This record gives sequence, C-alpha cells and structure tokens, in this order.
Amino acid sequence: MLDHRLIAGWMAALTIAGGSAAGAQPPPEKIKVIVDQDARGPCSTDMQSVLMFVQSPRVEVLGITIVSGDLWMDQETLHTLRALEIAGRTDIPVYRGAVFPILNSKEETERWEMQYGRHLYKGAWNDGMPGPYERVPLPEGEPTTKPTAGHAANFIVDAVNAHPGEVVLWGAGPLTNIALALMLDPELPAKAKELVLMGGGIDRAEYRKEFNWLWDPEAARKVLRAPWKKVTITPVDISVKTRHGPELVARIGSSPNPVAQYIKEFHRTSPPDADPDWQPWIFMWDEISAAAVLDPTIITEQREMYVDVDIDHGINYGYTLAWELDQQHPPDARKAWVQFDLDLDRFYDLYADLMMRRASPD
Amino acid sequence: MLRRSTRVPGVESLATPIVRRAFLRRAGLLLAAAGAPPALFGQAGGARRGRVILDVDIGIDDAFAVLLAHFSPTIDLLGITTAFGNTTLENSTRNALYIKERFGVEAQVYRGAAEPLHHPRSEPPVFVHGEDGLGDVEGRIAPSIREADLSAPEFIARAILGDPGEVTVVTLGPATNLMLARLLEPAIVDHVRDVIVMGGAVGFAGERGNITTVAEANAWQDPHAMADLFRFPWPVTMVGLDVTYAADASMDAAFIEELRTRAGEAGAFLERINRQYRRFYRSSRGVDVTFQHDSIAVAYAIAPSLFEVERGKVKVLTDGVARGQTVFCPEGHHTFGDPEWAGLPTHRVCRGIDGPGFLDLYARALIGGGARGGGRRAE
Repeated sequence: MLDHRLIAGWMAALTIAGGSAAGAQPPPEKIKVIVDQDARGPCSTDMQSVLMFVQSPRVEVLGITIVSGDLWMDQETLHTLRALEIAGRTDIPVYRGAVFPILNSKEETERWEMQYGRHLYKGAWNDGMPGPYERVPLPEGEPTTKPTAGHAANFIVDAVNAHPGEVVLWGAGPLTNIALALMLDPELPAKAKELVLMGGGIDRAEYRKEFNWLWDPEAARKVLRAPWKKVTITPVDISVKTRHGPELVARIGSSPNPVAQYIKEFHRTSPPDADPDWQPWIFMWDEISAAAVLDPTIITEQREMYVDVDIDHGINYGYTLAWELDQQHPPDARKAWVQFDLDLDRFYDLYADLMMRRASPD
Repeated sequence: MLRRSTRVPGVESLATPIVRRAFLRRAGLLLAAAGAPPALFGQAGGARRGRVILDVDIGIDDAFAVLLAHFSPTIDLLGITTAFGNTTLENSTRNALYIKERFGVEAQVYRGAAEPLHHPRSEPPVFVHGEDGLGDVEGRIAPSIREADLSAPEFIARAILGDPGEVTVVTLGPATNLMLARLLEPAIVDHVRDVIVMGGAVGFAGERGNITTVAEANAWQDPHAMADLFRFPWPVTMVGLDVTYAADASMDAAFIEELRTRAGEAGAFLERINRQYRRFYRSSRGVDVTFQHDSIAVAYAIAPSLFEVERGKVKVLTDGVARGQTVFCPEGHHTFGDPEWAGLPTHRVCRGIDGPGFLDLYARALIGGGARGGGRRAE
C-alpha cells in the first residue's frame, strides 16, 4: 500500500523542483552575427576581430563572408579558413564574396592619383601586391578546409531571412557584399536586427579618408542610405585610441591555447620609425567594433549623426560625410550611432580574455 | 577556390559575324552572297541548340521576345531572369511567370534587380507598357506558379560557369542583373559564349534616344551597368535603336493580324497586349506600327546574318544631362591618345538589319509554334 504522505512528499518535491526549474535563468540567447570582413591574415585587425566573434560564448556566428579590400578575396578566404582551423571552429561556414568593387576600379583610383596625389593606402591595389587571383603561400599554414558553396551576398540574404529581426550584420571591410545583398533583397534592412560597421571617420580630414569606404564608395553609399532599424559605426576617430602593442601581445601569449599562440606568432608590429600618433598597423580598428557588439558598455561615448559617403568623382571621392543632427544634411542621408570613446582597460581585458580562450562551438 | 583567366586575348567567339559590312557596302563590295555570318546556333535537327538566358523587364516588347525565343527551334531557353525597367520588378517577375505558365515555357523564372546599380529608382513608364507592364488588357495577372529560389544574378553566374563557353545571355532590359552576376562571379567574363544587348544608340540611322534625345531606355535606366558591360573583353553585340527603329522591321496592323489569326493563343495574346504599345507609338511617333526592340535582339541570337555589324569601342555616359548616351568609336578611328578610350576592348554594334527577314523569322517561329498552342517541347 502506498504511503500517501510519501506521495505528497514526492509531489511537493516535484513541485519545488519544477518551480525552481521554471524560475532558473535560461541561458541568455546568443547574438546571431554575420561577420563580413576583408580578412587579411595572418592576424591583423581583420582576423583578430573575426576571432573575437568566433571565440565568444555569447555569439553564434552564422557565417563569415569575405570581401576584397586589404587583400584579394580568395587569399583572404584562405587566411580565414586557416584561422578557423587554428581556433577549432571549422563548423562555421566561410563564404567567398565580391572580388571587385561595384563601380570603383584600379583605373579609377589611378586617375584620382594622377589628379590629386598618391593614396597612402590602397589595400589590394597597393604597388607590389599580387593579382586578384594570385595565390600566395600562407605563413600560418595552408588550410585543408574549403569555403562553403554559394556567394556571400546570397548567404547574407538567406541568413537574415531565416532569422527575421535577429541578425546583427557586422561589416568591417568594404561594403560590397552587403550592397550586393541589398540589391538581391531590397527588404533586407527591415529584416535585420542591426547593422554595425567599422568604417569612415569624422573629425579630421585624415580620418574621413577611410580605406573601407574608399575602396568601394558606391557600396558604402548604398548601405548607409538603406533603411536599417539601427546602424552603429566604429570610425577612425575611436580606432586611433587603441594599440595592439607588445604588452597586450605578451599577456595573450602567456596562454598555451592555439589562438593565443597564433596571435603571439603572427601579430603585426608597427614600422620602427612610425609616428606615435599614427600607427595604423596596430590600431585595433575592427576589434573595437566587435567588442561593441559583444559588450556595448565598453563604448563610453557615442552620438547619433547623419553619415554618408561622397561619391562625386573629385578629390573627396570615397570620403566620409557627416552632420550633427541639428545640421542641414542631404534629405536621403540616414542616422547612425557613431562611437567616439571607450573604456580602454575593459576593452583590452575583453579582447585578451577572448584570444586566450579555448573556443568551443558551445 | 582560385581561378585564373582562361580566355586567350584576341581569340574571338565562334559566333562573331562578318563585320565591317558597312565599309564593304560603301566600297561597293558587298555582294548578296558574301558576308553572311554563320548562324549562332545549330539549325533545328542539326547541331545542339544554343543555350540562352533571356534577361527581361517584361514589358510588352519583352513578351513578344520571350515568345520568339520560346518558339524558336534553335534556342534552348535556360532561364528567364527579371529586372525593373519597363515596369517594376514585381510586375516584371509576375508577367514572366504568367507567360511561362500560360505558354508552357519550361525555363524557370529568376527574380533579379529591383533598382539600378547606383542611381535611385525611377518611375516605370506606364504610358508605354501600361500599369501592369503588359498593356492592361489581361485583367488580373495572377500566375499560380512561383519564381525559382535562386536570384537572377546567381543563376546567370552559375549557368555560365556550369557550362563554360556555351551560354549566351541576351539582355532586353537594363543590364543590371548581368553586371551583378559579374560582381558575384568575375570569371563569367571568360566563360560566357556571347552577350547580346538590346540597348543604346549610336545614331547610324539618326535615332539617338527614346528616353532623352541622347539616351535609349535600357542604357538610361542603369547607365553604370551598361557602361561596365562594355569595359570587359567578353564578346558583346549591341543591338540598339540603330536597328530596332528600322521601319521595315516594325510590325504593322496586317502583321499583327496575321499573328492573331494564325499563331494560336500566342498570336491572340500578342495582338491584345500590342494595342497599348500601338497607341503609344501612334501618339509619340505618329506611326501606326510597333517597334519590337527586344525581339530584334533575340533575332540576332537566332540569325545574326540578318544584321550588319560594325566593330568598335563603346562608352556609356552615366550622369548628368547625357545620362545613358552611348558613344561609339569605330575600329581604326584615331583617338589621339585620349586616356578615356585607351585599353578598352572592341565589341560589335549592329548598324543595319534585314527588316523583312526579321519579320519573316518572327512570323515563322510564332505561326510554327504558337499555332500549335502550347510549348514546342511537347511536340
């Protein structure tokens, strides 16, 4: 015969267990991110920012889409595949994207230089760079994995449509892939959660001539003028406050984990005679933008502005245009949150912790 | 995956017709038997049919052209890709599906660009093609089939790369989809068989524009795409207003009536949608005929021997008052080192057409296929 008190006890226990289970915090929903990058490798701000997303337990990287910029797309794809192998995250799909800008070209850039002088930096168009389809051996080792079939732009369209309202589209290279995605699906902006970009510059002339938007000005114009729910921009103004310096590298290198060792071995250093205020090789351009997605509180100052790109074929072709909210601006320009300052200590901590982690798909 | 260019510079497509016939004619050398270019594709019952992608902005004259391709025995229609232009992308896609369903076109429909590469969207010319793009005569156009999942540019890129050297793309609208396909897969430049473009106007016959006085509609709609197209060394043939406004290639009331009575359901459909088009040409040009720009471009794919072609470079102006103007520089013309013309590849531009030959080709295709009702594939 059953002891009714015992049954009552079980029931109570079950109720409490059930109640406590229901009251427990479910693990926070992971942020779904599409990482669009001109992924120079090994290391560099491009790949380090990609690895921040890959290593973060808070993020589900839906896919990494590659675009030409710092290097040509196919070479960047190889570096990215290799970085994912090192991180043990070959489960993340990598998509080949745009090789060339939508309208801009090497000839156009040379015409500009004939009239206005040399560009400081032209990415894959720099003198002495390999051709668009030339393959260069990878110092970090050749990848054995392959990119996923399909074009980056199509993947962006499909992934955003598969998760309406949930996807953070993060673009830290030229915006060709995202502009192409917009042309394939003009309704895309309403379906994405947020657009986060590293690009452009605001306060000084040398900042306004920013490479990502200079490489493909028409793509940047199209993307910035699309009706996204929210746009956040990491401009040069905030990038120049950071350094991927020797101390940070030493701290990361103290970890035996593969990503940390990859950083230790292949991190970029500034040229020895560099201007201390202008060290583009070790500014953490894209890492800030990634950090702001992972933990927005790292950004201590940002404001809404109208941001656009000059597409006239004059001296300012590809330069950033920006207006404060109370300033007169073109009617088609759109608002974006522009970051200006950050908590450096917390930023370096977040970055170092992620690079020292042993990643896992969970 | 890394690819390298496989095209050997200077090697022309097999489809290249005999060129400079105009020169020969001026020199009194053009004999009736001479200079007939080889047909693009094998004739019926002979060699393999030509594999064609039709890129459309349907559009009344596009509808005429799609049915010509559908009923032509030498064309293997691989796909219909849609774009904005004569009408909105929505209408264009829906109209393509409507024609596919109604006339049993096997090729899938792929939705493409809704707007130009760079310029903002403009209002569709409803006074030419009607609110629905097909002359507002069909009632509610509600096909029960849907377009393929693949986007038009991706389909174009995959089709070309999947069958290197075999696929011809005929663009009847703005060249946006084709140039998006090149942005997706730059290697298509090396692997497409031929690119036939309805668009532009050089002025050989005095026609320079049908949007502005210097711009043909497709070149005006997306001048950046059209300009880009002529920058690459793929074999492009421009079928512009120079030939599509030829009086003897236009369709008069008697010709349309012939289609209506002898080309079955297709003929009856074309007669109905042609009414709006006819009104437009009556009011805009004072003639009681319709000009079938797009069918003439498809006719080039079927029978290039109907055309006189001249070789040269083409540039397209992208902005300002001359937006969409095509500027032609014939082969051999000295440009005195002007860097604008340096390094551009040579293409082909149609400068003459055998109008009656075109009409005969059109009538034979439609009366042969259309009269039997459905798709010829079912024969």
